[in-house]
Formats: sequence, structure tokens, C-alpha cells
Amino acid sequence: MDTLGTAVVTGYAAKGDMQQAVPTQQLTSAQMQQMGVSDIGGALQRLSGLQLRDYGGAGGLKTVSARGLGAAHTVVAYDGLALGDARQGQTDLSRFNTEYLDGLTLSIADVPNLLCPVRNLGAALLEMHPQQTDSTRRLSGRAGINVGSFGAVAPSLRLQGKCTDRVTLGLSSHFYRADNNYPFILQNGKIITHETRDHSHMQAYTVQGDLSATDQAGGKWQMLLFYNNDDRELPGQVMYYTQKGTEQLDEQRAFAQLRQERRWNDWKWMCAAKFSFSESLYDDTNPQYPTGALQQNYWQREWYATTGVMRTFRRFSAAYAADYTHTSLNSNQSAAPRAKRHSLQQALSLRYTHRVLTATARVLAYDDWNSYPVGEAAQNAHHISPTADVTVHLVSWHKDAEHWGRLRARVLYKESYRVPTFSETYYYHLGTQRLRPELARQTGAGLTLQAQPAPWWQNLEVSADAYFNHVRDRISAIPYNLYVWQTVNMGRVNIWGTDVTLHSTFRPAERHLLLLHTNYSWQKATDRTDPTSRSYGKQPAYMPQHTLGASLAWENPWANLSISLTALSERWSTNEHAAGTLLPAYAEWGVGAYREVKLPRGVRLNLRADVLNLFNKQYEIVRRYPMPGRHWKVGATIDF
Amino acid sequence: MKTKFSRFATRISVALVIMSALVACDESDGFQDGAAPNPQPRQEMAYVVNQGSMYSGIAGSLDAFSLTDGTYSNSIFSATNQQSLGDSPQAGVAYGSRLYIAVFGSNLVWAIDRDTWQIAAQITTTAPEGICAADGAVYVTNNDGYVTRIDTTTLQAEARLAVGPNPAHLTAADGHLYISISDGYNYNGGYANGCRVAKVRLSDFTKVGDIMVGVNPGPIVADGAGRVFVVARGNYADILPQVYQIQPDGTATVLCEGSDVAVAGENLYVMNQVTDWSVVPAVNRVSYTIYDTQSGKVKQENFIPTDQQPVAPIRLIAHPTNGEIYVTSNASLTDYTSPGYVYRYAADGTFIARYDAGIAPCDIFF
Repeated sequence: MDTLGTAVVTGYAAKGDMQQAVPTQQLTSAQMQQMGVSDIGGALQRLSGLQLRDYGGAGGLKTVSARGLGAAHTVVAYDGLALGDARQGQTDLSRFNTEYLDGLTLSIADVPNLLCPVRNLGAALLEMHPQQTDSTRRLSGRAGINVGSFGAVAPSLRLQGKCTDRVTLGLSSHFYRADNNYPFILQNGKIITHETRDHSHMQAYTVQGDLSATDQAGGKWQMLLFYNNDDRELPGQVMYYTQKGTEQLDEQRAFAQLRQERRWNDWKWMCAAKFSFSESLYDDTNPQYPTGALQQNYWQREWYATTGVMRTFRRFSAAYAADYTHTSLNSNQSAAPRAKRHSLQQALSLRYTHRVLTATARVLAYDDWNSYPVGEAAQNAHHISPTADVTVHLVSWHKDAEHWGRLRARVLYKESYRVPTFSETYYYHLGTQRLRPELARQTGAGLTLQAQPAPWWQNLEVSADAYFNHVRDRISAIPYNLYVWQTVNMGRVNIWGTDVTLHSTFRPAERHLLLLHTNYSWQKATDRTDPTSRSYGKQPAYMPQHTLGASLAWENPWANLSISLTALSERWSTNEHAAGTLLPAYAEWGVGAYREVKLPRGVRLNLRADVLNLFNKQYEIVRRYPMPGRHWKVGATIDF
Repeated sequence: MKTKFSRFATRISVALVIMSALVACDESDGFQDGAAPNPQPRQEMAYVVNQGSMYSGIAGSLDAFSLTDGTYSNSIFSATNQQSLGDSPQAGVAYGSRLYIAVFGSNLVWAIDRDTWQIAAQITTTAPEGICAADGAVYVTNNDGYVTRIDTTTLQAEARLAVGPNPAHLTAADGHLYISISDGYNYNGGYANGCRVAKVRLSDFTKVGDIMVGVNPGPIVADGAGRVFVVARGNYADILPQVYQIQPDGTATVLCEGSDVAVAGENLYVMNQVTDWSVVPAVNRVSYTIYDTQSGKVKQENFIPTDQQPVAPIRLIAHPTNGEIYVTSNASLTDYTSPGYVYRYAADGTFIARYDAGIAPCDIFF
């Protein structure tokens, strides 16, 4: 007789997303399976308050923006430390694959830990947790392969071994290739044609080595070496009457990082250092360019160090942390020699914890110094910004182990800056050295309910947050004339919104579980820049008012089934809502089946099959970049 | 428990089916169509090419307005033909019984009937930008370094001539084509392989030489006597745009500062636009001056009163016979995805009308 498998919890410590003082959401790999999530884009759409910008398919650029603040305000971290991108200020998340992640955590406005790297204290923090396997075994591993539509093949392997009782070593590798030539329908007035995306091939591999150690004094050491190589053809936007497809982007990124944490009585200390290098080689082969091709190559280096200390005094905790970052960017563009930026970020944090109340206050200081060998450097920035949040336990009840609940309320305020990227500052014609940092103010309040209402209703987690954000000195690119663009500080945006999540687990019968996950966001953003402009009072481009994600999984002794939905209301692709630029609402459904089979010697085989975009809905997230229609994916992983 | 679960599962299934039915209802993409407008007699019309916005995925469009009663019709191409004009059209020309529109992003030139506005031919050619007509043929510049000759009877591209990197605008005068060679993609190299106007003999479609001008030449016009004027647009930074006059001896001399030119009779209209983006909101200073094409002397300064100027001009065009002046404009300096405007002025600069055009109106032809 089959029974439901015992969950083996590995990887990062899931902290219980509803217990934090700030809006925090977590997606574990198990939840992703229940939600029918098959790629990073799908996962991001299950985090309430995030807007995904997706240029389509596995190879399409994917960036996220939290609560309408823009991608550059969202810090993306991998294994605890921020991934920097001084050139564009945003991380292309399509480089990461859910298959080698143990989970994602999204924290908005603040992070749960009082002591943390200062760079993690952005307007929002999206943390990616790299895969771990069973740490209780001497040697463990996971091997898997996924195959899908449009030529997608993705084998992966992780080996993890305990060298000693105190030292664990891991090695991961992941390969992905896909043609991405998926069909789509092009409607050009009365002419409707069936087209296929072309020039979309991609191939990527990632290699990672990690080492965890605990020294005799109890200090925890974690080292990570990461390398990712990604070559992809860029199909470009869909054009009328012609197919272009001459662009190619080859990128590689490598970083090495070392973290340490240590506790002595009431003291806690952390430090980390990281070096990262990235290369981006863009090529557009076209005889209209001087040498027959436009080649824009960029090389970025970042040295990063962070340290901090925390002390607890009864109900108070205080922490101080400082980050130093040195970033340089050079390129093959003659007008853009190596630009450098030194930045120092400091955070002083104070937390008061009482039985029914937790209050946190932080003061962040940001200073940077810029240099540029030719011409004017970017203006140096010096800013101080505060953060405060309070959580109150309103009600709790505990009848017995199967009937309990608690209700919490929270409020927060945060100011954060994002400095101009190197592209915005120095890129030929586009760049403007006199840009000021963009300021975001976040105000929010929320409620969280956690309960087990009945023995058959094992878990109910509901959170609802309302917020008001204001962005000032927004950095925007506008056309200088018909031929060139430039960046300017212009614009104020007000954003009102609510984020609601609901997770529930039912046990309708013995060995049957129903898991419901839903997230809903409402967002009303308005441009408040110039009352005479046509964009004034309108929802900015690509920002839906309503976003819904929902999934229901039925776990049973035979084959687990899941059904999922992602839906967005209509959006405009222009700030002015120009005629013909409305992107219609869409809903994408997916179904999946998964099953774990136990094999001898503790080996577990996981099988999974999904049909995505079940109703073959044609839609776009970014105008002229169609998303794939119905497609499938099957995968098998073996844990040993 | 089993019964309860079965009831629960049934409800969930019903709910999912209803949600699925609701969201499966599709709506087609918002193509803007409408009743086909009634074309007016050909000699009384002006045509406006709207570039759209490639960045925002907005196709271009073609408008028309009556020079007699001012009636303005938007998107006549798509309304007549029920399909898009294409991506990033740049310029057009009326010649014989047809209109020709160069559509850069879609790699084609449309030939449409001048009376009915219906498509006569779709002529494939790479990245066409400038367009003009002369001696029974239509000529387009291809951004990959060529000029293509289109036979106006067969409506096919019949010959292609290498002229230099990134040819932009062109004009015909005195039995020759004059083509701005911008080398516009070579901004890292200071546009060094451009800075010239290529001269092509029309009779045998042969390049006869280059005339050196300033950096990044663009708009080019000729008056009735064959005098050619070209704007060297500079580098959009420290090299300012200037107007050059091509002399009979094959050299070029600087006439004045200016970012765009138009010609009617012996009047050379010069627009000079300088925008200060360092202040918020940005300040745009635009001057409009009339020069005598024969003497090169200023005939009139500020011929368009300041309070009647467009806020964000794109192009300056003059009607070759009635002398009217047209300035196309974006909605504002920072708004590049809203419908723009066409400002219409009499030959003496008197404001006549402002028309609501399409997005980024970039050329007017007659």
C-alpha cells in the first residue's frame, strides 16, 4: 500500500512567511511543485505584489518590479548576497532556473533579520536559495532531467558530501538548451497569419560549488563559487511584414563569495565578501553597421564586502552593518571607458520585542563616489533614509493542538533610493551625468491570520496588505530627437495597492491533501508629473490593476494532480494609453501530475508532467513579444 | 468523509470550469480600423507620415488632409486597406498616380493608388529611409548603404547602387540625386565615413562623386534652380547642427546653424532647435528663419511667432507651390507615444490650423 511520503526538509530554513514583521512571502520547491510552477517566470507570478516583465519564452529577458516601484528598486540576492548590476540596475532572472533552487523569498520594504547586509535593505528583496540535498547523509545527490516543447532539454546534477562532521561540500551543474521557436498568431488588421518565433535558440549552463563549515567556536562559514554561461539568439520584437532576428547575446557571470556568522552570548556577528565578474557580448550582424555588425561588449567587476554586529539587551536588539562596494564597467564603445563607483552603505537598526509587539527602526546611510576617465563623472550621492515597522499580535487562541489561531497587524514606512545605473549615466547619447537618485517612499499596513481551524483543515494562512508608495525624481528615457534618446529625472508616481495571499491545506480524507495557494494584487498607480501631459493620472505602462495567481493541488496515494491559474487584467504598453496599445487581459491555465516513488536504500524518484497554457491562450506581457501557447514539460529527478 | 470530499471536489470542479469559460473568451488585439475615408482630388491633398514608436511596439500610420478645406483624415492606409502601414515609416512621395511610402522597420516601400489609397504594390527593400522621385522612377535610400531605384510602371526595385554608409535623406536636382551619407551608426568613430553628400547621375544611375559637408548629414532639399542645401546634424552633443549649401564647384559652405530645412521657391526655411535637458521641465528654444536661396541672406527672422510655435517640433516642411509651411510636432517634449500635431502656417508665417496627427509625425508630402 502506498502512503504519502515523508517530507524531507532540506535547504534553507523556511521561516514561516506569516510570522514576519514585514510582508514576506516564500515559495519552497515543494510549493512550486504544488503550484504547477515550471520556470522562474511562473514562480515570480506567484508572489503577490511582483510584476513580471517577460519578453517571452525561455530565452526572453525577465525582470521584476515590486509594488510598482520599478525593477531597479528590487534587490535580487543569491545565497544571501545581492547580485549587482551597475550597468542596467536590474537582474535578468531568466538566467536562473527553478530546478536548481530550493526556493524564493520576497520581502517588501524590510527584511526579517535585524542584522543583514545593508544592500539587502532595498525597497524589496527577492532572495534565491540555491539547492541543497539531504544534509544528514554522508553522500547525497540529486540527478534530474526535464524535457519540454520547443526543443527544451535540461539535465541537472547535484552531489553533496560530508567531508567531516563539520564540513559539507556540494557541487551542482545544470544545463539548458531550447530552440524556443514557438508558434503564435499575428493579427494585422484583416490579415491573420500563423507565424513562428525565429532566431530564438538558447543554450546555458551553470556550475556551482559550495562549502559549509562550522568551526569549533560555533562560527558558521559558507563559501560559494558560481559560474553561468548563457548564449542566446534574440528574436526581437515581432515586426509587420518582415522577420528580423539578427541579434545575439552571449553572457557569462561568475562570482565567489564567503560568508561567516558567529554568536557569543548576546552578540551576533556576520561578515561576507564577494567578487563578481560579468561579461555581456551583444552582436547585431547587419550590413548597416560600420563593420557589418554592431558589437556592444561590456565587462563588469564588483568587489563587495559587508560586516555587521548585533547585540541583544533584554527586549531590545541593536545592530550596525556596513557594506562597501566597488564597481567598474568598461566596454568596447570608444565613448565609454571604464566607469567606477565606490559606495558605502551603513545601517543602524534597533528592534524592540515584546510579547505582543515588535517594533523595528532603521536608519540607512548611502554614499557613493564616482569617477570617469573621460568627461564628467556621475554626481556623487549622499543620502540618509529611514525605515520603521511595527507588528502587533492582536488575537490568539489555542483550544488544542488541532484548533488554534493568531492574528497579527503590521504597519511600515520606508524610504529608499536607487542611484542611476551606468547605462543611464554614461551610455552614448542616452546617459546623463547629472541625474539624481530616484526616491521611493513606501507606507503600508497589513493583517496576517494563521490558524488551524479544524483537524481536517490543517492550515489557513491569510495575509492582506494595503500600501501607498510614492516615487520622486523617476529616471526615465525619452527621445532626444527622432534618432537618439536620453535619460532625465522627471516624474512622480503615486501607487496605491493591496496584496492578498491565501494558503490553505485541507485533509478531506486519510492520505489525501488539498493544497490551495492564491495570491491577488490590486494596484492603482498614477502619474503625477505634469497635469498638462496626457499621461497624467493614468496607470503607467505595463502595470496591471489586477493580478491573480491560484493553484490547487490534490496529493493522494496514486498520482498528485495540480491545476493552476495566472491572470492579469488589461494593461497599456504606453504611459499615455495611446490608441491601439492596450494589451488585453489574459488567463493562463496549467495542469500537472507528479508522483514520488520510493526505491530501495532511501532513493526517491520524482516524476512530473505538466501542460502549460492549457487553453492555448495567445497573450503578451510586453507588447510585440508573444508568449508561448500550449506546451508541455516532463521531468524526472532522483534523490539518493 | 468520502461523501464530504466528493461534494467538495465537485464544487471545486464546477468553479474551475466556470472560471475557465470566463477567461477563455478571447478578444482580438486592438487594430484600429474604421470606414474607409473618401479620397479627395489628388492635387488638393497633403499626406502625413507618422513614425509610430518602435520602442513601444506602435506601428506607423499615414494621414491625409485637404489643402482646400482643412479636413484631416487619420490612418488612411489602414482604414482603406484594413492592414497596418508597418513599422517605423520614415517618408513618402507622391508621383504620378501613386503615393510611395518608405517603411524602414518593415523593409518595404508601399505603392498606393493616389485616388483610392488602395495598395498597388508592396516593394521589398532593406531599411528604406529617404525617398524622392525623378525622371520616371522613385528612389529610396537603404540604411545598409545603397540607393534603390523603383520602376514606377512595374513597381519593382530594378537597380541598387552603393553610395556610402547609412544614407539618410535624398533629393533630386539638375539631373542628379544628392544623398546625405550620415554614417549614423558609426557614432563611436565620429561619423567619420559620412560627412558627405553622394552625387548620383540619374541618366545612368551612376555615382559621380562625393561632396564633403559637416558631421552626420540628414535633411536635404533643392530649390527650383537646383541649389542644394543639407543639414549636418552634428553629434547631438558638442557639434551643433549646421546648414550647408552645395556650390556649383562641388564644394559645400556653411550657411547657418539649423536642425532642419525646407524650401519653396527661393525661400529657404531653417528651423534651429536647441533643448536644455538639464533643467526640469526641459526648455526648448526654436528659431525659424527664412533665407534667400540665391543670395544666402536672411530674409526674415522669427517668421513663426513664438506663441504659435509647436512645443516639440520634429520636422519642417514647405509646400513647393503655395509656399505654406508645416511643422510636425510631438505632443510634448517628453511624450513620444501620444498622437502628435501638424501645425500649418501661411507663407508669411501666419498660423492657419493645428491638426491632430498620428504618433511622431515625421514627414509631409504633396
